[in-house]
Amino acid sequence: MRPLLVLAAISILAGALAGLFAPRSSEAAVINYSLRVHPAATSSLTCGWHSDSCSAQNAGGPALDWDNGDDATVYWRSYGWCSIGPCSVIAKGTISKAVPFCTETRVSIKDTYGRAQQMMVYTHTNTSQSGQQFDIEGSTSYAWTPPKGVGWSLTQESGGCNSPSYFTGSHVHEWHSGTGWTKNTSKYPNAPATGSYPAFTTLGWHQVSRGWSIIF
Amino acid sequence: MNRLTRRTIVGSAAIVAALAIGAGVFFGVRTLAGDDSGAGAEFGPFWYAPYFEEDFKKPRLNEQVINGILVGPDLELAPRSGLCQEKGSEAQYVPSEELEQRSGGTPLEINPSYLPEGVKLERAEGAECGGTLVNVVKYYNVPTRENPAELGVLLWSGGVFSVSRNLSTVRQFPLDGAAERVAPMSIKGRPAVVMRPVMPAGVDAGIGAVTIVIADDFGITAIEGDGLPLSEFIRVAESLYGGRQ
Repeated sequence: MRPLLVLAAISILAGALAGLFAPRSSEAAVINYSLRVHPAATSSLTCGWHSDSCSAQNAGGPALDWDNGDDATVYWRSYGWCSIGPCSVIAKGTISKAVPFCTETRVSIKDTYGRAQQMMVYTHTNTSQSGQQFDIEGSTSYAWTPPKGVGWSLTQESGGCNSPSYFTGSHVHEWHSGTGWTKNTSKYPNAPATGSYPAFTTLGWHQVSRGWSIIF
Repeated sequence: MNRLTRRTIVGSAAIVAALAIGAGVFFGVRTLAGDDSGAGAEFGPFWYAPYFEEDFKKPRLNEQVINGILVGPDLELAPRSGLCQEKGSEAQYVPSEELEQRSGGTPLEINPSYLPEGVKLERAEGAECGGTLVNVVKYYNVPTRENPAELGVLLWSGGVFSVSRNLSTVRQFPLDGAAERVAPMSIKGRPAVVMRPVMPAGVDAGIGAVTIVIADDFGITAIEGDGLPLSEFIRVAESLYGGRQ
């Protein structure tokens, strides 16, 4: 009987030690993600890449201006991708309103575990959805998130921003904030260029893109 | 059945039982020890989302005066009837390269004496009316930071926040969100209003957005954004008024 008890004790000890210290099979699993954010209003570009104001002097900034109707909806539009599926949701967007001078509707992007994947900002856009979160969809072959209305274009701006230098009618000044974004400069020109583009659902006609990885 | 065969059967059964016990203990210990294979895995994918859904259903802030500041979802930034109109001029952009020099030493200067390590200035903008600076905005980028002692536990979610200062004779500010997250506060003796962030599962890591509105003698100072714990945003706000934090 004693040899059996010794064997059982050894089994328990070996099992416990292996459970604590043996490497886990999933340690090396890395999933890569890609997010492509498309223009939020109409497909009519009223100013190419610029910073504060639309002029050749300010060319090359983070923003594109898109024409929009008075009170017209401003949409989150994006394609999402992951290297290993299923990944029907790759991130969450959280809407917030901010008014540092002009009126901004911001979409803060957080990944699977809540880490920042930075922010898209829609200036001259009002919202009543501050605090609301929505799914940013994805798949292994790029999935389109059904356009999510995040706000509407103002017909008149707030305070000092209601000036011709900033606001000459309903449009969306759409820009990315934070690090790690890549501007789609091959598709959209610098300020003060204008034009019409297949900006909505056509893959490759995104405004900006970014990628990240998560170790599972 | 001879004695040798019985001993073989008993021995084999003992080995199988030992392996079963070992395997059971292995998986039991692994389950109890938790899964440390992915950053944040202990919270599960999108663990924070239900808390935002719940918050969005709560009663919203109605227009009201808090600490002497009029706040509400449909207000304008103070105000259209402000300095620009008094001067009979329209607001104009101030080139960012001129902004530091133009704002330095004025009430609109934004120069926090405290910024958490790794927080970086992303861009600055300003506006003037008739030669007078009326607005300065600075956008800051916050890196993600995890607890080195607990893999995957966020200290800072990371993100973006703005600090803005506006000349104004009216104390009002647009604020939108769940009413229960809005409260009066004081920043270095100045009346202020805070809209604290959604803190999923009590985690104060900047996953939700915060707004701090401060009534100044010259107008309004506001901090809006996410990425940091509320206590860090308060330290940044206090540091706008000088002194060690």
